[in-house]
Amino acid sequence: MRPALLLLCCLFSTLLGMLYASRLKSRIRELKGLERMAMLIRQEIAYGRLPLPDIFGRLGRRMEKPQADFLRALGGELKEHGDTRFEEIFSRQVDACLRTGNLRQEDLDSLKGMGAYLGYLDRDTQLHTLDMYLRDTQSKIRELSEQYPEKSRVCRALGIMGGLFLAVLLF
Amino acid sequence: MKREDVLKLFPGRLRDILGRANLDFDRLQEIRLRVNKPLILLYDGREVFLDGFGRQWSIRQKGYTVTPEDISGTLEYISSYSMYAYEEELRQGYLTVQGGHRVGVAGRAVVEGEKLKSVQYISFINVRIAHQIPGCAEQLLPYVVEGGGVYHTLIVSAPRCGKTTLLRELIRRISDGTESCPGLSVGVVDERSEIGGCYLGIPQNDLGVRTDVLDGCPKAQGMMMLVRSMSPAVIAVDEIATGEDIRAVETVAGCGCKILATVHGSTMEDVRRRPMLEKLVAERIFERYVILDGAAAPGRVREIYDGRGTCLYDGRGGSLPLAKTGS
Repeated sequence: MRPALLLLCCLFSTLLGMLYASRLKSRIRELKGLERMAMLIRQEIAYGRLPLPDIFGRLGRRMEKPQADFLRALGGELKEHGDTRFEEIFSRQVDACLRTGNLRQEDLDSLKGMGAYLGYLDRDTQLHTLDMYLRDTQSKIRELSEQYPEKSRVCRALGIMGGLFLAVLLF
Repeated sequence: MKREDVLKLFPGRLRDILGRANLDFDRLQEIRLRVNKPLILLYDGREVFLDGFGRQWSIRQKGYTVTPEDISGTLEYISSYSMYAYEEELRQGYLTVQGGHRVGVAGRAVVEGEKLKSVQYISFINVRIAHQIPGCAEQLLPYVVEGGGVYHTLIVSAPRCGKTTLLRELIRRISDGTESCPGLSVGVVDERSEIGGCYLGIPQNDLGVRTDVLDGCPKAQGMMMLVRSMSPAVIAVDEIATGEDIRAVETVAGCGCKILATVHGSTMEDVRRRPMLEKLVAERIFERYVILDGAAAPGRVREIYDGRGTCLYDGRGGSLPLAKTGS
């Protein structure tokens, strides 16, 4: 019985470590999704000159979840002209559609910050806003990707060691 | 549907006022916003002031005063939160929204060299409500369409007297077909989006099932593009004015397409006196000249002439048509 419990303890702890490592990977993946989304929005504004609700609707049909859900919901609410400022609608949809993933609050705040300047002033301002967001996001992705292998190893190792430590403590 | 299209253009306070006002949106012509001035409607041909509760007044002191926030909110909605997407339209001073309604703007012009770059600090907005009047060209059709074909037709009218509305209805009827003529493919060069009221390339007005629209394109270029690419039987343009437009009309007529066009003027003499148009009159390019009545009776046909200048119809004093055929 005791060996089985020890094994379970170690296994559980190891799995926790692996889960944490996997969440890091998912965060990178979702940031890449946001990067792709921002790039496509940028291209649509640069070449298509469509209004934002139509851009979001179009891209919502092309992208994958959760960005697709976000874009469709955002485009739909904007088209209703529900007497709310763009910034508020954008922020609300970020919280509703993207908060449940592996993105951190700082990632969501950065996206909301970009949304605060979309639709404002001329085309060059839109492109500049999106370029700034893309630069920041790409820098973050690069940094996390560089750190991931080591962090992943540390998480797994900590998981195993933590499990062993817990086992020693308990038994 | 029109009511909802129009109300959606305005932010909360204005939407509330317009929503409460007992308005028939089919009789509403214009909504004018001017910063720190009363909200004014052009309704059934007369000016109306709305107060904060949507009640109609004829005295301006009772009118709701438009705020800068009302203007900026309206701009956000009419541009779908995307002013950048309408830079070209704003340079022209107006944009067309869903429903075909035209929104004119005025403010501070930004000029670069000699070219107008944009309009900033927009403080004046004029929403012109689009109205299509089905059937308004019925009495004119027998003079324009005959024997399975269409005559080259020029509609002559002063501004705001219904020539575009009449042209639109002619296009629709010719495109869909009449008793005396099967449906024909019509190409429309809609330089200022007044005929089709295109929104994102889709005509908001019914122009018929066989109509192609080139929206926002200069007339002369557009006519040649349509002839080359869309094989129209009829080409329709609004307000031909320049030498380039006139030359394009001559070329297109020579290609075998029929022309429906409009021009500013009040009488046949106005047309003959215009340096560019007198050549077309002399060459008898146009086979029908339709002169509209003045602002007192928008859309009403006063006279119709054939290519030789013979009067085919004189509507003054209620006289019967003189003849229906001619060259």
